[in-house]
Amino acid sequence: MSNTDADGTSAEAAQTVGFPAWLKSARVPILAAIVPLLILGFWYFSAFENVFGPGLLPTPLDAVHAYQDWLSGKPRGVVDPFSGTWARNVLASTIRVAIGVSVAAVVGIVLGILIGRSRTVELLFDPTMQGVRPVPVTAWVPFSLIFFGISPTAAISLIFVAAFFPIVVNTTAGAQHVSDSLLRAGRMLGASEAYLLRRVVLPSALPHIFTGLRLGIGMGWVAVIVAEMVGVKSGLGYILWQSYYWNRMDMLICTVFTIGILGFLSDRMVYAYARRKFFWASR
Amino acid sequence: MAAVTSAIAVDVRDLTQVFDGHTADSKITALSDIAFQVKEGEFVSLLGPSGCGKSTLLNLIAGFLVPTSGKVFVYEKLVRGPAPERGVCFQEAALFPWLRVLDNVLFGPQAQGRRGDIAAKAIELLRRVGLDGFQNHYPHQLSGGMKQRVAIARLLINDPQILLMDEPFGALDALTRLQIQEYLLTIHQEFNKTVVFVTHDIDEAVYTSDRILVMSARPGRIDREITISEPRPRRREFLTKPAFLDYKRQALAVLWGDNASDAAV
Repeated sequence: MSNTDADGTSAEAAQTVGFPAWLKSARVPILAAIVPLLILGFWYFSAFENVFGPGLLPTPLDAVHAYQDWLSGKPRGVVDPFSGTWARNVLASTIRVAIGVSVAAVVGIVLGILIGRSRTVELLFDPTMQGVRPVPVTAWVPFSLIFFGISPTAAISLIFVAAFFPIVVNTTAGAQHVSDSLLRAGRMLGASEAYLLRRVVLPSALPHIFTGLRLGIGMGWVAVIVAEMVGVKSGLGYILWQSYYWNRMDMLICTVFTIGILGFLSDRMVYAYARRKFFWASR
Repeated sequence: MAAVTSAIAVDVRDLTQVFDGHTADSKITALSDIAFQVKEGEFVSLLGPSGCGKSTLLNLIAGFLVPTSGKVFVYEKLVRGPAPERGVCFQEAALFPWLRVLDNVLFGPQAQGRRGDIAAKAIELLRRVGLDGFQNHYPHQLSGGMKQRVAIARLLINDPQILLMDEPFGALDALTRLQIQEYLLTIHQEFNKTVVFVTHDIDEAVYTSDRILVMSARPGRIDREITISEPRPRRREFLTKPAFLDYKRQALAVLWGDNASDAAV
């Protein structure tokens, strides 16, 4: 066997011979499971060995029990203030994100389309927006409390600010990248400029807009947790802060896990919808 | 049968188009003092090498560009911008990819707020261009030739006075191109349309046109006018007749700047 053969073909052959077919097809889930299992193992180990100090870290099983109680309201031991409050708080946070992101989407998409297609509107809004955009959403927390007090509106206003910028910036990019020949085609077919915005620019920009929405929803979850930690008396951010306050590490873990799952699911939903809707965009 | 009447459909007067170059004070003269007329029902080709400004000229007639100097009149009306009475066929079909074939055809009437049974008319036009049963397909599911036929149906539903075509078949393979040229000739006949056709394909220009305006570049201008007197309807046999070769030789002579051989013809 020559050297050139040894590099390419034989390495491949070894792989095919070495692993049975079923193992090859399970390659993806096996690889995906390795890191979570390592984390779980480390968690077990450090909980039993009190690596972070005695009694500080609950075992994974303790966390599962806390989650069951949080969900069902059937405490295993003493009566627990968190017991059975899962649905109420998940719903509260989800609704706030939904309202905040929806308002941000309406304003962001309309403004983004106009900024992308009109130099005048761009000059009017863009400098201000680029100035305000770098301010992190956490910096607006005191303002939202002053303006709206301890209330859901404070949280929603914060979510709006957080979700607005990625949506408007991506919509603008989408509106600026509409193909010239599609605009010309629309015009020579008799479309007015307003009609073009609605039926050519908007659909052309939709793939960009959905990228903005996905980023906006992600930012919305960041904002809702921050807002609820300080400004509202319900929701996952509130639970998170209460868990910290009452030194309930098990509930902290449950809440963080829930926030992660909700963020992931909302992103997947938008992504799945966009993939179905924009089959034409990839061709 | 498309009858060429004495009415002037397109009147291009002393058109000059200058574009900004790469540097601040460099200018590129794309078109210099272009003047010609197209009669109602006539099929006129603008033939020339790339860079001769033939597409620019078409875009000026379409109203996509504002001329640096000179004017374009269509039926004695000054062209100020694009309008549905001047339908444009683009190089890459330019169908709306998110709309089904039928909705692409219906775009014009809907944009103009036209009522009545436009859907039935759209389906009839799709049948006329040989796309029966494709109304629910999306553009990406169609071949290049089919896309161009949708683009033509999308124009015809607006009942334009003039069809402006910018190398619409340039990207198609030879056989598909022949087939769609025949469709176009049929449409020109049956719908009695005036056509201004931009191409760099000599065979295509000779086969389809009543008149060829041969252009040259730097600055873009019209060098010669060749009248193709082959009767209509044009048949495929024309492509192999001696007369076809004669016309082709004339056009080539102008494109090669070879006046001696032109004289010999």
